[in-house]
Amino acid sequence: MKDLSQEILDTIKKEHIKPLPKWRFVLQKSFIWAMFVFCVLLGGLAFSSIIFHVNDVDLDVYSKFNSNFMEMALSVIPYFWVVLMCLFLFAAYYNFKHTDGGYKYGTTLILLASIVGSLLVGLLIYYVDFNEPLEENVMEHVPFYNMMMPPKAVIWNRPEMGFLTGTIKDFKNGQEFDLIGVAGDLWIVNYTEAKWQNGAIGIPGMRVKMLGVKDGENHFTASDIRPWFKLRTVQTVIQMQIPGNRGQKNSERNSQLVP
Amino acid sequence: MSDLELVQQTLKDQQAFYWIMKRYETRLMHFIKRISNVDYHTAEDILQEVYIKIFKNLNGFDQKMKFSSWIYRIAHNETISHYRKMKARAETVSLENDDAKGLIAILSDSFDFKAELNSKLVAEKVQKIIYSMPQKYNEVLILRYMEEKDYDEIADILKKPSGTVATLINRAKEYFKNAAKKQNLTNLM
Repeated sequence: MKDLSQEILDTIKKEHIKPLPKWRFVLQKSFIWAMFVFCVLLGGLAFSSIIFHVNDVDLDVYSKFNSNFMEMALSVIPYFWVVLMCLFLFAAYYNFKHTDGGYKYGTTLILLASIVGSLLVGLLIYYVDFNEPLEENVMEHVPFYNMMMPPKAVIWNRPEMGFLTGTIKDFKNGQEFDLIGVAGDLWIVNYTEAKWQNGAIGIPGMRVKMLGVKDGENHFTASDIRPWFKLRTVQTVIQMQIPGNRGQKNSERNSQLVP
Repeated sequence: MSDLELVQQTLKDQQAFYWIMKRYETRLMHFIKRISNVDYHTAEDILQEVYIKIFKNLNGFDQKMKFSSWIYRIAHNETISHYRKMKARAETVSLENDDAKGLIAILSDSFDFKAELNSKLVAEKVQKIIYSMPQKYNEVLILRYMEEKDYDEIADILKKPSGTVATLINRAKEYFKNAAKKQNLTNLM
């Protein structure tokens, strides 16, 4: 009588089939876990950028352009990061499902755990001030990034309507500073009546956004000056804007600051 | 000798794999035929593929689960993969009358069959229902009531959460009952 098991064993011997080495399975399993962790970290990065952009919204200004809260909310959502976060969360879920015991857990639980993980990582990244350099890099290197983000530069580059943005070039006489606009044009800004908001401090090289009045050809009187990105500490401003001064003592740095 | 001991032994001497194969040969042949409805020779070919795959992947066996669950998982995946390649199932039935009667007996507490009645006719109708069911339903019924696996084992074999397995079994039973009514199986009660 035919012995199927013996036939299969003979085939195994004849074709010199060997069990795959253990390290290969260890590597494969480790890779899946590493990919899961990596996706949660990237999800955290995307989440921190969402917090960064939402926190950066100037509600008092945006509310002037939108008739209701929903319209305003839709106009400030950083879609690029939201899509990226969803992709990373899905990838984290996919990788976890493919770990050895991943199938034992329901979709909701895995997604929830991934979201909580990304949330914690996101908050950590946000509080170590990593988002602004990240933002600058992404703006520089990701094609069409600006098209997928709220049109902040457009909103703040309307001098006729009282919005102006650019980079402070230098201070002239204790009342005015030169500003390089987004189109590379030179503006003279009077800041004597201006309130410096959200941690904005007048230092050359700092990118600012302003409310005020255009009162002459390339002349602007500011009533409200804010940093381009909301900053939490003076230290952050110094580190971000004048990297050459990092070796200076605080007292030396502060003597350059206005107001 | 336990399965695990045989696995360890096989990794030192492939001859020991013969005893693993022998131990599961009949059970896996039945399982393959039940979930795929293929003929005996095709089932043999699938089983050969299954055993070679098991042999190659012995080092990847996760000892947190039962060895039997692991090989049933491989057999299930290989059979489904073969089935998909072949696209359509053959019309011939491979559920044995005893299989069908067993299923009826187990479902009968909620369905109230009198299992002794005209078993051949009932068996044929049951076979027809089983093979007309969506795959997700018939495989859980086969694993639960013919292979007599518990929920955790089915979860390991199908790589689904235990809760999902429980839900699938309940839905499959409901589906079976409704289909049985349409087949006039209620007349046999």
